[in-house]
Amino acid sequence: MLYKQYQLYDNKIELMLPKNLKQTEDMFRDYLWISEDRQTVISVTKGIRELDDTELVLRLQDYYLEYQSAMTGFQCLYVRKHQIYRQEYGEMHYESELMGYKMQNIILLGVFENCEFILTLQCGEQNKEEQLHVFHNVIESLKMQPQRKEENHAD
Amino acid sequence: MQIKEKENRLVVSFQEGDAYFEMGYFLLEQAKLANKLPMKRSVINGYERMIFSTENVVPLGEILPKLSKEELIDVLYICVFMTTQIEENGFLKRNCIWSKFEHVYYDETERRPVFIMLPVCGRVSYADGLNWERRFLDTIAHITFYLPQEEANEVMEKIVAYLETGENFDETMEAIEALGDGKSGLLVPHTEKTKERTLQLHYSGREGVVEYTMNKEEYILGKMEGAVDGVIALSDAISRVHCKLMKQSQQFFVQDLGSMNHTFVNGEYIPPYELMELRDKDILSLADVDFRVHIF
Repeated sequence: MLYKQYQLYDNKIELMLPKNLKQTEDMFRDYLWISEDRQTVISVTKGIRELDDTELVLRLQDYYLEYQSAMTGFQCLYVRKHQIYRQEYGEMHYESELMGYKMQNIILLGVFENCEFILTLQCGEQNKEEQLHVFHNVIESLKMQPQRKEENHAD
Repeated sequence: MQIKEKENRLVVSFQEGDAYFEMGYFLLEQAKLANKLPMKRSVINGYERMIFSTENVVPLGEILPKLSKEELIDVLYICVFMTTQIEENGFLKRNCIWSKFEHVYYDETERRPVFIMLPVCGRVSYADGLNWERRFLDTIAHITFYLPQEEANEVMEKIVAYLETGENFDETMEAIEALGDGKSGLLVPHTEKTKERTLQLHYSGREGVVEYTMNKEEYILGKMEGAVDGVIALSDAISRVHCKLMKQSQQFFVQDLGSMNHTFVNGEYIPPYELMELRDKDILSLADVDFRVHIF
């Protein structure tokens, strides 16, 4: 499997993705990649809601509750805190159903420029183990430029 | 939050403003903590209740005077170990362990203390105003009361320091272990650290045998001394800066750096600046030089 590196948000975020995914435009997500068979979907979005590290668990719970009530066949497989290149993220792996098909989903929630940063990865049941291994590689490749502390200058 | 003792069970009722969190319940189930009291949940009038069964356990306070020194050390060890074990996931905090001594139990079959574990997030206050650390230390003091006082005091100091700073966990656990004479059989093993994996490239051919061991997260290969980490003088076809090996978590990747004669994995061409995962026994080719990948 070949991977390509992408620079997102003016080079502030670096991510490695399978080469076979095609980048497409989307109204709701900042970046979206879809495989040719449309079974694998990866997206990156910077949310508008403010967030800091201390609220990570509660914000992830918001998603947990939202999915639990809105998604067909929602079943959470694990939730954990995940450190990647010294940044902390909340990671949730869950199953859902889409038009009768079982889907594997991972949401990675972090903080980027004081707002929520969301990476979602979705695939079908086909080659599930291999796909999840690729997702793991994608997640581990995520590099976020550390935020510079704002300096306060007196006028 | 209210805790009521009923026959063979403890009922915890959460009220508005309590630190209860729904995902925490899932996290507690997922954590598979051996030292938690069996629990069920119910929702009455929109308020969460958790019911803990105390059917097959006895209050720790009742059993402590009857325990041998070795068993007491085990109890102490497990209590302190729990504070770290529960935090392994990253989201649950030690506050989830309800540490009031009166509500800590002992499983005589498994010979271990068992706790009420609560899906809470944030501060948990006890009715008497004590914080979690003070409540926990009170429980620890009840246990160490039955141990030789001089040794117990020494260990107590270490536990207090560990709880305050979060440092020297291993040292604290070793101090507890040292209280016994090694006969205790229940002690929980220390957390095993994941073994770091290493990648080695092995060349064996006309030029003899050459090996490169990746000793950093990014390792550049090529023939230009000073610009690369692994200097390859095996062929003129290799570029000055040829490719980069990268380690992410426990996986390894190779990225071609725009080399003249290209990089291949098991014969598959890697386009410039693209990456491919490397696995044990892969053949990594830099131009006309083949290396066997060894990951261990």
